Amino acid sequence: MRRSDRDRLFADAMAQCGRALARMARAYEADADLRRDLEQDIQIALWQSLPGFEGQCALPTWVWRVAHNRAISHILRHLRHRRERWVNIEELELESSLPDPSEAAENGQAMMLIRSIIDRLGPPDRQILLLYLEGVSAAETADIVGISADLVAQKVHRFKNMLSHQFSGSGESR
Amino acid sequence: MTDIDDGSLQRIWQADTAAFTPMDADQLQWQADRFGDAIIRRNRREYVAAGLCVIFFGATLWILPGWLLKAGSLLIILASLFVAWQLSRRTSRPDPVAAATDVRTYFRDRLETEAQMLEAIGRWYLAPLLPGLGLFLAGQAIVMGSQGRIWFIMTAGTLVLLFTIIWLVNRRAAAQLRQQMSWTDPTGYGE
Repeated sequence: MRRSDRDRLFADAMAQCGRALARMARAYEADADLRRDLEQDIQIALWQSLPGFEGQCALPTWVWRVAHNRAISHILRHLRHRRERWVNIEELELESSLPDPSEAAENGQAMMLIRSIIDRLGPPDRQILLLYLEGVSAAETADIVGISADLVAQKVHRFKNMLSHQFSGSGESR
Repeated sequence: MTDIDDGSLQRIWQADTAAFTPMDADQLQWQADRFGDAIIRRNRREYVAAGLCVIFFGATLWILPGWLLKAGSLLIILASLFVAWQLSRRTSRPDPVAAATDVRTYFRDRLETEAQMLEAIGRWYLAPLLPGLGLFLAGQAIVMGSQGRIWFIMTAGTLVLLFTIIWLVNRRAAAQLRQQMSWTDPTGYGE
């Protein structure tokens, strides 16, 4: 691949997925300095991978694979510094409840709740929910992650169910 | 129960317009080269260590008397070269395009390779060095005369203890990797 083609493809990828990658990096790494390193690592990995991109999948699919692979490598590398235990979404229990989705959205509580769920999830469920939140379809998520679309749909359903319970004030998460 | 539609949830999430500063092409090229240099430096360290072993035991092969010391030196030289070759082969440069395979396959393959390397460290790193070291220590013990037997037992015992610790530490690291790998199994995703 010529350097100019590679640069153009990289610019396209950043234009399409740049902001989403920033949100993804934030969801994987809370520390600002480490997050900056992660963002750079993702871009370098993507740039290095682009000569292998021959249109075998959509460019965003390629970008998401590289980005999630790099982000999970990052959290595995820093695993020993983590105190909290990761769980699957099926095991997750939330303590507080929120009054109303619109109100919660306005004051940022909804975002806090979403983040609190994401932060506690292990790599498999975390990547699925992050892709869902970016509007990636279940079929495409399945292709990126390497699992069935049905399983993606189950996980998303569980996530939405959990949020619904929280918003309705029932306090239940199962 | 309140229904949550996909659109509103995704809007809440995407309302976070976090800044992401794309790196320019020159920065990317420089960083990618630096990454390549780091791998070259790491391999160079391994070759330098093997080279020092070859020089030291080459000298003992030439200078020291007795066939046990000479045979031990020769076997250690061969083992050092074998270990350096194995290290270079087993930690080869990663394939950037492999990073674009699906997440589950990418990690299953990567963690499996690393776990196998750590599990097999006794075979490709420790065992090849043992015959040469054993012969060398035995030769040295004979040269030392009456004191040699105790010296041999203590030195060989220390060496065996050290090798056992290295082996156990690596087995433990491999077990931890296998634990990390569990999420790349179908059950890790709840399949």
